[in-house]
Amino acid sequence: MPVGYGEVKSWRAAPLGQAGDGVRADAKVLEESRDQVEAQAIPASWTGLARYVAEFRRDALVRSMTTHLEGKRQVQRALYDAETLVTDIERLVADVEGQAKAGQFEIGDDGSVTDVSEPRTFDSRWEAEEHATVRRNQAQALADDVTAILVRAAAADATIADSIPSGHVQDVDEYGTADPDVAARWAQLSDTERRAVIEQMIEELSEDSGLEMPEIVWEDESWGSNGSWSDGEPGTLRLNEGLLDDPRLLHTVAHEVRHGRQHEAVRDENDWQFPWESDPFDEHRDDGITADQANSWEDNFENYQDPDDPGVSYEDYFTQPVEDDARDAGREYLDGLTEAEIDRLLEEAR
Amino acid sequence: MTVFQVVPSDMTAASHAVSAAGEGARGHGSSSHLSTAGSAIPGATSVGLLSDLGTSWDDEVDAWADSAASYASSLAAAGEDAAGTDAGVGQGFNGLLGLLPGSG
Repeated sequence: MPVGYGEVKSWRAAPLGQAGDGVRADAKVLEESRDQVEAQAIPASWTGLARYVAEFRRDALVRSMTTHLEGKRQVQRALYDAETLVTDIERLVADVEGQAKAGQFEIGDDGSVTDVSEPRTFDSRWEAEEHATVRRNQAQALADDVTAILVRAAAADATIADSIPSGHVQDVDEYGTADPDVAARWAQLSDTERRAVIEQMIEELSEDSGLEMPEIVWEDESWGSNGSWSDGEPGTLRLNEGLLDDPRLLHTVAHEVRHGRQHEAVRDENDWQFPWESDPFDEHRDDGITADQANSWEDNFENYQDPDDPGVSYEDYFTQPVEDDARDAGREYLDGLTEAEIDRLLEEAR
Repeated sequence: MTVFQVVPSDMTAASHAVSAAGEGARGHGSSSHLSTAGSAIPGATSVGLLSDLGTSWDDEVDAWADSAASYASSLAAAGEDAAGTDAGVGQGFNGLLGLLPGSG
């Protein structure tokens, strides 16, 4: 979930820079260790078959440390980039808090702006209305500044998340991460605009998947799930509106539409045609889906592991073929999404 | 036919170098630095990711150091084996015609 103003105002840039320095220092030590292994692990005087085996092991050591160092450098750069963004945030928070105090406003932890000035009396109704307008505009300007801060916070957070190398954090490996520009753009949009982007995205993904446009149901934030797909003609895609401010919801959308495609592929694989008729499964085959895959999805749907059922573990749910495949689709979508694509979807939706 | 050459002192030196490289790497997984970074941005999604990454990096560096230690041991053992085999063969030739101490 995106972070709120109450927490962002306590963010500090300096520790990010210190952490970047620390990671860089560790990388330097590890690089020396790797170079020492590379240069000295095989004595020049050593010949024979065993030397080749040793070279294989040395190369594996060097390779694995090189990969580790690449990850460290990636994270180190992200920490420095985030430091710059958070330096901006610290300055902007000080500015906006100073302006709020001077103007007798209070900014709540949720970013809302409240007028806390003493009530005044006015000689005329016109004067009262004029004053109210000025105060409203001042409050709106402060609220806009808070939004600008939250946009930078989303970018800083995504900068770090996006730098996490693969193979270390399951959440990143399985669900993907939003590009910092995508996270920042998403933070700028209103909930109405986010819905419009998502609904356009669903329309386009459905069309690409050979699906009829599903019915979209926005569930209340108390709903216990991020999203779900119910098969039908058309299918029904449920999404949690409480997650609208989190770009991870875009993974969920692509994930759920993929479930629709899985059902469609199963139907088309089971479809019978005369030899002169076209095979509806061709469109899935063209997109890299095999008949074996469709058959395994069919078996899986018939024996779906619902984590709400007694005796079904989260692991059972998580690792079943249809969920694994849908997560791949969601991750690929989120990882590949650009700010320009969000703007295009928004434009198409208008 | 296999031709091989082992200089035991070179093997020992290489073994020490790799062992030192592995030991030098230990403790540089960076989890403490990533934890520092996380403490600077409370509430951010990346805090948990940095924590998981730190744990994984620490484990990875430790595993690398263990592999380096294992490699160093293999290297030292190969040098010792070669020296031992050479001495054993020497004994088998009746102390190299009485030249090796204790033969004869």
